[in-house]
Amino acid sequence: MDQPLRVLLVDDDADDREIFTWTLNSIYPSATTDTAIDGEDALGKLGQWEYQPDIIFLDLNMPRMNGFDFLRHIRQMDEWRELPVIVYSTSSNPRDMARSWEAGATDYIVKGTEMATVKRDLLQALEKYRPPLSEHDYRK
Amino acid sequence: MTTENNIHDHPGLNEMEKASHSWLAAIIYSSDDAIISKTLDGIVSSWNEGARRIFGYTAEEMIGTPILRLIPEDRQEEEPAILERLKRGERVDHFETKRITKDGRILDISLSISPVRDEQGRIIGASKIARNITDQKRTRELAELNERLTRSNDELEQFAYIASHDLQEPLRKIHIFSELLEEGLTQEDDITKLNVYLDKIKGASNRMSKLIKDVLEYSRLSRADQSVSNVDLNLVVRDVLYEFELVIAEKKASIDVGMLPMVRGLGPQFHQLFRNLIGNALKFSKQQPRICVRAEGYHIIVKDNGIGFPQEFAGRIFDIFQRLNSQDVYGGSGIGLALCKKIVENHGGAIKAESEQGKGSTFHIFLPG
Repeated sequence: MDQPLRVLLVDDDADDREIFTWTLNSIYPSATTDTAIDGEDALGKLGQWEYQPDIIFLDLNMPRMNGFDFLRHIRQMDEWRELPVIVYSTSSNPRDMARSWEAGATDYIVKGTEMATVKRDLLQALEKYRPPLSEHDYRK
Repeated sequence: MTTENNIHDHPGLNEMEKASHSWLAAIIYSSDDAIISKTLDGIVSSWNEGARRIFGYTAEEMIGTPILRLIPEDRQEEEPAILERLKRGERVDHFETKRITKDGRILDISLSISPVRDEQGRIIGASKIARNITDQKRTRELAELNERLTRSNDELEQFAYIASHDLQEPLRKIHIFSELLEEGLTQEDDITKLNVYLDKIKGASNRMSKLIKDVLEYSRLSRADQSVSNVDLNLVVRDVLYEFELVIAEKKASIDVGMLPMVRGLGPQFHQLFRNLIGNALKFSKQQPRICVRAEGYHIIVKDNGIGFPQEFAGRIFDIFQRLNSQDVYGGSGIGLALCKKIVENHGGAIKAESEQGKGSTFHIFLPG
């Protein structure tokens, strides 16, 4: 049976968390969006028993643990090595993009400036990186 | 009254001394530097080959004429000042100035001038060694210019970063919340929800204007058109505290300021420096702020009991746009401490920070004495 989509958004900006959740729910009403306010908070969530998001959207510039450090950290762990992590940042700086690839990002999306763009980007990323059903079942 | 008397025929000299004088005469003749002597009235009395090569005049053209011929019009007052010093028996060492050649070129010259005395020890004139440093100076200026350009390039890159990141953030919010507002209006949504969107739009535009203001302030620091003076840091801090009067009263902050030194520098920049440090100490606090400003010589310490930061961030907090705390709780453009660092470095000093999360922060400023 198809499991509802489970997305983790890591972003320190409350407005952005609100916009993201709102948009995602408008595309996939059944999806669950969990949010973390920075890398450390996200690590705490990932460390919880049986917590398994299908995909992570990750901001870069955050206090405590930023996006790069979070990525590097989880890519060293067998469990999270293959998990799709989409960097989702305001920055269109090539240096930030390069650093994200190096740290192990699956993809990089610059946050859209219009609702239509935000919607389109999320939809495309989810279609592309959401694990196929069989694998989903396999992972329980 | 020339100093270039026929020294070889002097009756008091033995053979060795005569030989030594011949050597000296040869050295003077073939020196690359201009070696010139003049009377105390500023009349040229000897002129070597180096002087001819540098200035273009022959010895015949110069000897017996005023040295002022070599001095550009806007520097004519230098000569009386130099003569005054010579009359008092003082030397002038490596004085960098400009001189004019026969064909009207302006050269950068380094001058060393010493008084010449007669046998009774009376000052009768001056010997002058002039070195053409036009090329050296040009090289030095180019190196400095190059360094300034590199610095301003780095700054430009940071500014590009602002355009791509920090200025985008509020703009994006304004746009998206306007769309949500628009949609809410057509669907006749709950008015309180629409007001929330409006507040978010206003908040974002306020952040944006603060950011633009701070960026401008930061970029102005590069301009060197402010004048250096003696700055009494006691007065600077007093003015800053006066500015924060309301916040201090509101937060019931206690502030303890010790005796601070007088420094050379740009007053308004020191004002900005302390405004940022004290402003941060007041802002990043959960309890009643206790702030202490102290100096040990030219080492100035600003200590607070605020929220602090993990020590591993101590290096990063001075980078532009490095925000350690959530925008939701502690607003800020992320420029303040970058500004502090730039100000201290502008004055040839250094700044560092130490802290432990939750245990306050201490900022150390080291200024050259």
